Amino acid sequence: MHSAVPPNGVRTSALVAAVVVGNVLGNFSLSRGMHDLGALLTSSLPAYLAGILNPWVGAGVCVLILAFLAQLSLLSRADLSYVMPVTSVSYVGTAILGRVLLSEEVELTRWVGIGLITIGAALVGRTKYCTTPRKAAQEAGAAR
Amino acid sequence: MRWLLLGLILAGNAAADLLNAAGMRRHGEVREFNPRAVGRLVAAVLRNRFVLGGIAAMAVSFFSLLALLSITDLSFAIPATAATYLVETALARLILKERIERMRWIGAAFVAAGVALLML
Repeated sequence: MHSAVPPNGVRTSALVAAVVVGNVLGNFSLSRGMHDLGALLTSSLPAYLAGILNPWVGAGVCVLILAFLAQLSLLSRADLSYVMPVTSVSYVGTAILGRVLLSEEVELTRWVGIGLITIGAALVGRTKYCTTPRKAAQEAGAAR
Repeated sequence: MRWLLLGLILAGNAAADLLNAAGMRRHGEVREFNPRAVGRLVAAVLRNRFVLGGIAAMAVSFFSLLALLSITDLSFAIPATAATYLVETALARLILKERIERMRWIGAAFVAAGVALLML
């Protein structure tokens, strides 16, 4: 009836980390690529499509797809009401990365916001990550 | 118009998350992460109607956001985006039948407040 994944939750924590790190790095790479392309993006459709070939954009998209797969894996074993708040720390990661790598200004309001998100994610993280019955995925050909 | 677009963004996000969660619950717990298992996961996801619906809902949300940004600032969408964390928690309770203890509600509220302040 209940999850047969090890109760120590190590794998679940690793999935959360994968989602957060993936989102932070993927979004950073994507916005870096879009920034490099600048006004080029709006000039014409072929230019817009060629934007995909920018290495930063390409890498960002790949990493975001992996982060999405990690999130789906997380949802296969954890509640949505657990996954959403806990993975919101990617906002914090993005803000800190912006501060460290791009020397972006972070005003007091944003630091308070970072603090609130961290506290909220920690509170949700302390709850049981699965409150609904789960089954193991089938080996070949999953349920439709 | 911008309220319609905002509604589409929120509805799209909520629908996407609910559909993805429902689809992956039907799929069953993913435990292996070697390359072959990841390949099987991708193949399964592409056959999962719920997740495909979720991806479509994400597309609706994304293009609505692009349209919204063409007529107003991102700051218009912030309060509603932050409230998403509470709305989706409530929908998870109602639709997915998850048991939401008080700590989880409080945590979601903190996250909602934090996201609002961070995005301002």
